[in-house]
Amino acid sequence: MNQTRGDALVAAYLDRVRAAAAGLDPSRREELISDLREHIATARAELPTETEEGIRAILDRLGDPAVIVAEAAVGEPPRPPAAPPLPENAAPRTSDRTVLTVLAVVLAVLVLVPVALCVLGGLGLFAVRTTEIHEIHGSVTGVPLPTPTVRPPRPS
Amino acid sequence: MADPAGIAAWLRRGTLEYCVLALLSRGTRYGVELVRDLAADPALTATEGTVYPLLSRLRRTGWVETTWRESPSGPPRRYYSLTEEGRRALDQFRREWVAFRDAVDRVMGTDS
Repeated sequence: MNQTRGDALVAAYLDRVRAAAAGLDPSRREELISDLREHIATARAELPTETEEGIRAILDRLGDPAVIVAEAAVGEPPRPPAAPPLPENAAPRTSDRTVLTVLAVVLAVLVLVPVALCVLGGLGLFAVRTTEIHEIHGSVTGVPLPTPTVRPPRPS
Repeated sequence: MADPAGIAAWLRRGTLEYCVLALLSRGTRYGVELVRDLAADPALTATEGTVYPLLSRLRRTGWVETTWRESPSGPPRRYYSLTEEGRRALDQFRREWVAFRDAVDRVMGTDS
């Protein structure tokens, strides 16, 4: 088979790995790519005869770059030799998130409490007014409300 | 997909490293050999490629070390071997694993 065709398949595969690994720490990314490149080179050398099919089989068995990268991204060492350096923006992002949460809670309290009070107050006022209107029903508008002592006796 | 709930992936996560250590306790192997031995059982690995991030972690942890050796055919191969620390970790895992496995089996009703 054409040697360059095999090389092109491998290069395309490693490009996909590199693209999938864009979010990885650069040294991890390069390490992963170099491990995979090494695996492919060794496995190719072990093919009885190098065919395009054989190379495709090697790449298929390595699997989907996204799955490999997910494994590289998620896994924590069983016992880390040293604390891995955090991405530079990790800490601010965390504190930003905390600040946002606090702000959201404060805003919620500031907005919801007055609204709740207004609603409750409004309901209370409405109830009082309804009662008053009911009580002074029939009286002339503008006339001062009669005090309870001078209120005409209710019809029995 | 055979593992829609991700159960197999979760179960592998804490154990596969030690499977690598166990394979290496029987002798050094080069990457392709090691990866193929592990990936031969689909219950252990999703694909061959997913073993490499794990090997990288084991190197960084200091539980395995690698040496380059010339190959009779093809490029030099990187051989993986267990360090003394890796051997201790494996021994500890074996003890924990037996207790864990037995307890889970009892609760699950999968002991026979």
